This record gives sequence, C-alpha cells and structure tokens, in this order.
Amino acid sequence: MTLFVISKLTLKPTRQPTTMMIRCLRLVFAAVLLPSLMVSSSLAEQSDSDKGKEIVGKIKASLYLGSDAAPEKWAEKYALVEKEVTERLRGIQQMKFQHYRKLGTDIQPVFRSYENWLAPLKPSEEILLSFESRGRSGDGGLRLDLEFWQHRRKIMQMNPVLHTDKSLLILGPRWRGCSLIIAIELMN
Amino acid sequence: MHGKNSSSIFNLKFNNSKLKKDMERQHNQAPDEAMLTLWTDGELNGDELARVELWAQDHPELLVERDAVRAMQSSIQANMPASVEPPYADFFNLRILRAIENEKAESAASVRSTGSQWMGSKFNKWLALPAAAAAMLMCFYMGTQVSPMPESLAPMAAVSAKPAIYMPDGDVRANIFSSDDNGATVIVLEGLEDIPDDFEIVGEPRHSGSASSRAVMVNTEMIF
Repeated sequence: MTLFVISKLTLKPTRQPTTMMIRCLRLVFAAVLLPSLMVSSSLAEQSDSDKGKEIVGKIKASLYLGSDAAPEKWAEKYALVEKEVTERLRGIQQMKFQHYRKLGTDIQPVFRSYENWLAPLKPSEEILLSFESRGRSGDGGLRLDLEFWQHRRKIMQMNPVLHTDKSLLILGPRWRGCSLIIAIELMN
Repeated sequence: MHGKNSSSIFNLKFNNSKLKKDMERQHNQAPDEAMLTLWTDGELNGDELARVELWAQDHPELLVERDAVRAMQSSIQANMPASVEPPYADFFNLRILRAIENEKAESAASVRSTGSQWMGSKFNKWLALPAAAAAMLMCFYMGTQVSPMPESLAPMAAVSAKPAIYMPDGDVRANIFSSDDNGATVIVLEGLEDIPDDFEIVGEPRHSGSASSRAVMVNTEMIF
C-alpha cells in the first residue's frame, strides 16, 4: 500500500520511466517471442516430417511348431497351419515334419532409420526379433539388420536381404519335444 | 684458537637448530590436495612420499581413507579384466571387409568400362565437349522433373548374396542353406537350450518388464 502511494506520487503524467520501460520490454518480448514461436512451429513441422519414420516396408514373423509325433492335448489349442505353408515347409529338408501348428504372428512396419520389434508370441517375449532397415538392395530386396532374441538373450545377429517371394526361415529351439520354426517374410 | 672453536660450535648448533626447525615446519605443513590425491593413489615416491607419510602419521583418518581406496583398487583390479574385446567385433569386421570388396569390385568394373571404350580414340576427343554439354543439359532437365515428394524407399545399396551371421554365444552355431524349391533362406540354429516344458511360451511374459517398458519416450515438443 505504501509502495503504491509512493509510486503514485512520484509518477508524472508524461514520459514516465516505468511506462517507457514497459514499452521497451514489450518490444523486446515481441522481438524474442515471435522468432521463438516461428522456430518452434518449424521444429514441430520437422518432427512431423522426420524422414526416419517413413515406412519403407512391412515384415511379418510367424512362429510354427513342427513335430513328427501326433500333437498332444496341450497343442490342440493352437491353430493348424495353412496347407500352402505346410507344403512349403515340408519342401525344406531341415523343416520337414508330420504335423505343424501355428503359435502366433506379428506384422510390423520397417522404418527408414528406426529400429522396430516383432513379437510373434505376444504378449510373451520369449521369442523376439529386432530389425532395422539398411536400404534397398540392387535387386529390389530390403536389406535389414536383424537380431533374433530368445528369453531376452541375443542369439543371432545377421544382415539378410528380404524379398517378397523369398522368406527367411529359422529353425529355433525345441519346446515340449517339438521344433520352433520362425518364418520372416517381406510383405507387399 | 679457542675463540675459533667456540664460534664453529656455535655455527654448528645454529645450523642444527635451523634444520630441526625446517623439518618441524615441513612436518607440520599440510600437503596440498593434489599431493594427497597422489599419495592416496600410491603414486608418490622419494622425499615427497616420506614427507606425506610423516605428516599422515598424525592424521589417522587419512590413513584409513588411503587403505580403503587401495583395497578398492585391488578389488577392482582383481575382478575387472585388464582389457575387454569390443562386442560383435568380428561381425563388424566381416561387414567392413565385405563393403571393401564390393567397393573394389565396383571400381574395377567402372575402370574396365571406361577404359576400353573411351581411351585411345581420337574421334571421341572431338565428341567429348558436345557430350559433356548434352549431359549437363540432360542433368538439368532431369533436375526439373524430380518430384518434391520424398522417395518411398531407402537408397539402393550393393549387397552380397550371402548374409553375414554373428552368434554372440559361442555355444550356438548357425548353419545357413538356400532352399532350391521356394528360394527361401534357411538357418538352422544348433546348440540352443530347450525351452522348459512347463513354461507356456504363448502367454504372459516371464519377466517383470516388457519390451515396450524398456523404451524411453522423449518428448521433443517445445513449450513456451
């Protein structure tokens, strides 16, 4: 209150230093804030147009169970594998089994320069695949850095070239007397 | 004679007392921080070591601290390897070697193509200038035709047909095959531990944290 009275008494009607200062500050704030807002908006645009987030392809990981013995009761809850896939798997010496079951599938985009993960047994993380694009190959394939993880342990690291008509098949660990097969495909 | 002897004895006594005073002063004078750090790390020797040791006899807390630091140093040296191999070194070396091979092959091919067709031809020398001008015009025209939209795919990269595989665990091996029937690449992993039978792999994760929980989301939005 006292301060208010004193300031009121000392104020003069024209060209008061406080008023001048406020005017100057307004100009300064305008000069600082406007460019700041412009910069922030341009940064927001840049984050929206981050080329690294562009999707350069989609890959699919499917997890199958292969066994020669007839499936036990526990396996009956898992879906049968499509006839086409069964024939394809049986055509490969190392993956030739009498019975196949499908445990899960996951499809994820491949970003231009960001890593992504495939979890075909979602929500389980027992089997995971991490991947990152390394550009297109000369013959139109998609070159990847691919890692195979089991039980949160990196098992294998490789740099395959995936094509839409050529899948990558991994014969993995055994579980309950069956073999796990991981099929990785590049989708159209 | 007697006078000379008495004066020399006096000088000797005076020097001895001065020396004692110097030693006492040095003894009482605390070493600086850097000297103490070097002493704690065991990097002092000679007079400096003797002086700090003498001074530290009156400061048992420093002796305790020095002993603790040295015990920790010896514990670290006992438990940490002197040198560590970088992870995945052989994998990256293999990739670097392949990249060098690819580069060599490309440069050799370009040298062959340019060398056989262009060198030694006088007629081509007359054509060089108009060809360069035409190439520049062509480049300019192509530049005007380029779409401003970003390209949908990453730039092409020369790759070798066989992928490089790295197995971090030495007990696990990977055998790679190419299936003739459907063109698939087949990798057979050997030496993997079986998944326990009592574990339901299709279900809730065994671990407390999830893959997504490991990710750190950073908000880059600027707030004013």
